[in-house]
Amino acid sequence: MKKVKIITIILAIVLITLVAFLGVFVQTQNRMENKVKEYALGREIEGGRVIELTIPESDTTDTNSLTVENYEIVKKTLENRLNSLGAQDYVIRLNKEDGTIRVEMSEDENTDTLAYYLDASGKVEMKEKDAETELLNDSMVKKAKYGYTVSSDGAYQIYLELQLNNEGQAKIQEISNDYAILSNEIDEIEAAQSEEESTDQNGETTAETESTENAEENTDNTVEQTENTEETQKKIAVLTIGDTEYDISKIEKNILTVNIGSSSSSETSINNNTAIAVELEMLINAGKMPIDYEISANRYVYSDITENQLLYFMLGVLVVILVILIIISIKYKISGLLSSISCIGFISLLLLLLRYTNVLLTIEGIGAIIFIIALNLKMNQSILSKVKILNIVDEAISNTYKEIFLKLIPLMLIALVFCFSGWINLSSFGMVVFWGLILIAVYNITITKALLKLKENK
Amino acid sequence: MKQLKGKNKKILAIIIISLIIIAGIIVTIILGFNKELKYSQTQSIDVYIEQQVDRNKIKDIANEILGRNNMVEVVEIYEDMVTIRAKNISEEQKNNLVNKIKENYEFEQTAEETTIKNIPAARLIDMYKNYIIPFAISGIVVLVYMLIRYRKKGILKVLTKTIFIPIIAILVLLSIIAITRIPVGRFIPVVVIFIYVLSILYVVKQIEK
Repeated sequence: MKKVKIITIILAIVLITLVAFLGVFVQTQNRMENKVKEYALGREIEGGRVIELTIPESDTTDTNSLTVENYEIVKKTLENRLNSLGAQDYVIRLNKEDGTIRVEMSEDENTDTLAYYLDASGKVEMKEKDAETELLNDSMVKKAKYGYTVSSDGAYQIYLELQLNNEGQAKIQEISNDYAILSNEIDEIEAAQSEEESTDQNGETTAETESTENAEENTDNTVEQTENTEETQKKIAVLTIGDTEYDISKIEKNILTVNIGSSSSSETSINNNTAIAVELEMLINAGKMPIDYEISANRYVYSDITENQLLYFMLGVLVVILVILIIISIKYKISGLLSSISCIGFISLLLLLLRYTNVLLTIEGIGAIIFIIALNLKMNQSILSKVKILNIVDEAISNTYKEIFLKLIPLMLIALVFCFSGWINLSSFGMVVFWGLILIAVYNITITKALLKLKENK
Repeated sequence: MKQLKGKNKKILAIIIISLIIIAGIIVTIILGFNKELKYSQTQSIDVYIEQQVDRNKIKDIANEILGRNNMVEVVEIYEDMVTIRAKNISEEQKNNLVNKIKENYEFEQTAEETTIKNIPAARLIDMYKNYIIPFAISGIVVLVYMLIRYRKKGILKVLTKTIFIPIIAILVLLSIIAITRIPVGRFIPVVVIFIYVLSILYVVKQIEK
């Protein structure tokens, strides 16, 4: 009966090993398809996106702004944007000679979004309407923060608060004397202007119908009126973020409140306006882009580590493991052989577990797999040596667990910190170690223990 | 006598470690780290081959013309374009590369149409700065754990060992990398993580002794 149980466990291990290493092939539409989940591989192993940003050759580019300092500012801004958008694996290179920036990042469902924001403009500018006079620029903006207000009728107004620095605050006070900035001020002026236009037209009509003398008098009056209005009327200032104009609803000390869209109770409209506000907040807070860039190349580049190289490496590791298992089998005889079979099952289960827990494998992750396998081998060797001395499997296993797992608490802490590091290479290591340690704990107390106990009672 | 021998061994180890670290610092100041080709300043050419390419075949051609220190990257989802990178690519080498590839594949792009591009180097700080904070946090977390768990063994002893052993281990590793001119790139972080983890486990073992 014990023999049957041992054979059953061994067969189960063989089955798991076959599934983990060869897969389960099922015929789907005239072709064989592996039903076992594929490994998720990182940028350095599989490949990733390479995006090249260059300065466009246009007449509008200010050649004085093409300095190494500005290139560095742009690089820093791009880095901030990628971090804000949660990019977890990228490298940015800067060619200081011509300002070309090369971004290498991993390929996933967010890559296109990240690429879009690399050259998106978040430039804040206030200009005189229909003129090129710059009144305020983004060097005067400290940061942005979005928010919303709800009116009594349930309409949401999404807004963006632009916090100005001291220079910006002084500037806004200065320009508010000559310019209409707030949306209600601008509306009043525009209403007055359209009224004037209609007055002009009336004036002309009257002039046609009345006598020549009176007409001259009236025309003089109209001109006089217009002159007076122009004297009292402020010029209009327009705020643009990116290339879009926005209304300013409030100015409070150093904070400009910019309305994003109009007040609405429609869910779609609220969501759209919120998305715009979030996007602008991110672009402004990420930093300035003193030079405009454009994406000149956006390509998927396969890794130079080929599948064959990876396969040879893994085969090499497997050969080393097999040699160790053979040594264990020779040293501890049947117990060693059973423990070795159990180790093969462990490796297979670990590889399946990593695939089904969606752990992205980077070079660090592969290193962690080797580390976990080595740790499991050490655990098994420790159990076997204790079994040899104590001759009781239960006690040997519980002693080994106490001895090894207490020492591994710092490793568990490191793995947990790495899991939440937000950097894919470290989180890959952390996750493999995390799942690996759990599997070591569960697997050895069930499978290895069962095999050794069955042999003990034989 | 035995104690004296142990002390001598310790002093010898400290001298060797110090020498390695000093040599590492000097080499790093004078020469810097030797970066892997992928992260160094390189020149590259793009060849659009219009059909799925065999990377190994292109690699053989690149090895023949540019020497072994080159990189062949297959570009685009259809694997119909290659980027060949090396420290320097001369006009003659470029022409030879394109013409040699043309002998194996039929495509339109000519050697004259092919341009040599400069790819800037990635700065080491840009490559590795995202590792620094998680390493520091994990170090602090482990330190707090060690101080709580082994407080009876002497706080100063635990504190010194937990801080200095991993730092010295990593410094020795980096110094060896600098001295031996091992290329720094994709494989270094995993080695550093290994040394970090192993040194922490060694500290635990030392304190528990």
